Amino acid sequence: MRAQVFLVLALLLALTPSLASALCTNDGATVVYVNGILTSLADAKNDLFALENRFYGDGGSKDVSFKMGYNPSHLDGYGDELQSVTQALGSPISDYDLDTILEQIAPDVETRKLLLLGHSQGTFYTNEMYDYLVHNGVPPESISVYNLATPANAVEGDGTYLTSGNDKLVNQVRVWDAEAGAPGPLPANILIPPQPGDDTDIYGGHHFVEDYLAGAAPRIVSDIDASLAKLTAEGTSSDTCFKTPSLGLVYDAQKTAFSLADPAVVGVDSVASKATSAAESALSAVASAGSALTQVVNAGIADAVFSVFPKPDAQNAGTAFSVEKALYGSSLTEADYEALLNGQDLPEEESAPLPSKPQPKQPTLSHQDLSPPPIQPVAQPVPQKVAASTTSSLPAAISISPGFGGGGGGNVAIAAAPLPAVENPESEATSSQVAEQSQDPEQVESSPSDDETSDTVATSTASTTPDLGPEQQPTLPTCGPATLSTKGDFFSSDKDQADYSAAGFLVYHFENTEDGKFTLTWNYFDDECNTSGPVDTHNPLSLTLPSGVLGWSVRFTSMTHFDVWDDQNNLIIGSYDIPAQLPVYTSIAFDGGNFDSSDDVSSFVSRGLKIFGTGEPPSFTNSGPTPAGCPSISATGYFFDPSYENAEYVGGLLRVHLRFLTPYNDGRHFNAEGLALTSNCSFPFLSFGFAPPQTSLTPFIRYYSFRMASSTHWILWDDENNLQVHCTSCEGDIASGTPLVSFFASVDGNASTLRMTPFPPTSP
Amino acid sequence: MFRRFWLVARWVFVVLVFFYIALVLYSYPHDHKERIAKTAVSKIETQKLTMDDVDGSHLPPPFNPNAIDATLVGIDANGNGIRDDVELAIFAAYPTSTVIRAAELQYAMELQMEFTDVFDSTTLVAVLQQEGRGYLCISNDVRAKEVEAQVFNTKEREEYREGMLKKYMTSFGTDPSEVCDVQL
Repeated sequence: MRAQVFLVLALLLALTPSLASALCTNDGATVVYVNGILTSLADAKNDLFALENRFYGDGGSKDVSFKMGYNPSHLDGYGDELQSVTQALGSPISDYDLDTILEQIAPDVETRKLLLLGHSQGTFYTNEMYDYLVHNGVPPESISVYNLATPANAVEGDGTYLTSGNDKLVNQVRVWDAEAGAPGPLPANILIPPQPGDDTDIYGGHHFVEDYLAGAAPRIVSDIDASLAKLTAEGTSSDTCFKTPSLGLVYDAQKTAFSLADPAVVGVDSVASKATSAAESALSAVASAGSALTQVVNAGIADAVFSVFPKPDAQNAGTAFSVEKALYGSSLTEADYEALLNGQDLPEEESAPLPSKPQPKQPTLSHQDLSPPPIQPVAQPVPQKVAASTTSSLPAAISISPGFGGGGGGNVAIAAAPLPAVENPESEATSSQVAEQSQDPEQVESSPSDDETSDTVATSTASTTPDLGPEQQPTLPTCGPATLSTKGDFFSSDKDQADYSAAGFLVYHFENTEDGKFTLTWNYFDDECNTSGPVDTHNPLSLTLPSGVLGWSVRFTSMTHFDVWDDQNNLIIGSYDIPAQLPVYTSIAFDGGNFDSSDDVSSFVSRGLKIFGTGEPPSFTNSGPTPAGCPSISATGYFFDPSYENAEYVGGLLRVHLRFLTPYNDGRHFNAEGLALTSNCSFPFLSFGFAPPQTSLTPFIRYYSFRMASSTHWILWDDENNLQVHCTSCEGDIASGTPLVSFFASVDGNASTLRMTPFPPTSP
Repeated sequence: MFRRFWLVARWVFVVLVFFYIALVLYSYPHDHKERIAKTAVSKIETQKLTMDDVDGSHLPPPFNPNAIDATLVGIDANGNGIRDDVELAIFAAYPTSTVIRAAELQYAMELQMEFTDVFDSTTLVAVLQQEGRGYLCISNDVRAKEVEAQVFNTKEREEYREGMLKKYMTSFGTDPSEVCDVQL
């Protein structure tokens, strides 16, 4: 009998599933990436892979592992739209996705050091995850947040962020937030040059891989490294790194509701009637799944509500916007939803702080910690009551937003009708936030006016415009004259004020002594204040200040566009599109003339200031010593710069950073060749003879590099845009085992030549 | 006394055994599914590219263009996990660069697993982890997309992938160590 009992027990134990649990350790670190909305898993995982690729490719530690905290879309993005809006106000309507992400990543996170990296709407989740985790036992010293392209107005903890001034979606959110009186996104602190296709993409500049990684990978990797370096972890190993939220019946019901409703609403944007039909299906599904549960109704039906409304076109964009505005200002009750579902108008409410949760914190990051530093006002405003010229207008496309996605794009409807210009107090406020770092901005008065309209459409670039006397001239680095100088009596030298918009672009204010006609021209400068070449063959802008108007300003909305404003009436009186994509470190100086006066000619020359406030050339550390007996870099002529060469090894492969002289890289073709040299640096006879030049780099950039992509393959790289250059002679092979490699190039025959210092192709 | 105690204890024991058996039977389907997934994950993790696949000594024969896209999985005549049209296209694109060819073939093999090896979230995560290795092995976003475009080259394949990912989507992590199957 006993034997039989033991036999049975042994059998049962053998059948019992074994349990294993992960350990949470102090070693290593984990980066959790949370994507934006409308990003498919296929795109989100490519985002993650690309991020890892850049991180490890730039020498990132293999002790750092990356995890995907997948943020799915619901109801074809409409649910996320609503979620985003409520998240922006610090009171998310549903914690379903947050709980899901935490639940899903918990088994994979095996380190105490944790960096939450969000993109777009994912930045709301990283902030919320931080908040949850530090309130559930995770020491704040071991966790941090790093947000990219964030529509949020804060980063939790001591986190940092990176937002481009060319991020069209975030810039659009600034306008929406300003309209709704909601706290706007953090100010832009980098200018990532537009990538191919961004000019026609209304969300250009916002995509994770195509914009942020493509244009700012070294900075992102550096920021991640810096964030991880600040983390500390102590304690003994434990089974799990954090406690997951308790998922109860409500969560399960929500899960069921979404599983039924999500597939039903896919593709609702194609036809309005289809949208309504699908929405009804979704609502029916949601209702049948758990109508008895108030929270399910709140989360499920609330997410479904937008699907009742077809995505707006030119005719109903205003309606959609008013719905958004109402939602911004409301606390989203079931009655509101029912009103919406029944086609009733929601009563518009004044924006008010949400009562349920504290308002999002103001920026907590230390601006001093950012490298390069964030936008600083060029001017040194003194407390003085002035009317801020803050007119801006909405871009042509206003629709129910596709939300804060961008990782992989999404099916979004675009409305084309221009909407009236609106005040943008938020960009002013944001600018002031930055200004607060150095001075007291009190008594700066804005004059928002919803009624004000303008025929001219522009993006938000407004800034405060405190009057400055000549004694308050800024001392920041300038190219050209240190102060504005005038000749004759038409232009005033008393006003020479410059600032940067929330998006980071130059806003330069001037004043004339009388109204009337004048011309405006300008010059560009590179990072060393060399005058750039013939970027554009522009004719001077001919401008006319209306009767009685003396103050005017030049306001950039991107690296390629500026408007000239009548500051008194907040009207655009002239615009210009720069026909080339200039480097982010480019400065500009204006000069003007008035030739109407019969007795003399008046003119002015301004300071040369950076178009983008924080634009800097790429920076590299020279860590590759010249091999003994080998000649250093040499160059002749006008094209190649012999004074700049920084060699380094990344992932064991050589990178030599080089530079063109200004102003001659207009995209012209030259000859180039990677040279395999013997260990005694014996150069072959160097000449391209009559070989046609087939190498060209991005026009107007200065910084590029010769890189080994493997031990036998070299490539050319645009260091400013962080892109591999693709052209006929922009890459090549050398024999395996080559001890030294150099780079030889020439332009216009031998009018200008370059011979790079020889280096081992792989880390010696 | 002892006999009575033994009588009670025996019943208690029988009841406990009964409940234990019931628990095991109840959890068996789940455990069985887990074991199947575990086996599948093991298969996914052990499927590696070999030097034979890279050096061309194992190339598939020319394929029938009409047949290659007739099914989602396509044709893999040499049985190395890479669809024949994709394999031949990679060889044609990079006839001299073994490093690029090896990396792209590896990634193509891992992407193909989305058709052949994924049937739940566990196996999806395993495949995504392998894809992460392949992507890092390529180390080039453009080339990685090039391979994806070749593997998911028809509307049907794209839609299958989209549906599969939506069905089993979940969070996952990757392992940066030993990203390339073939060390060159």
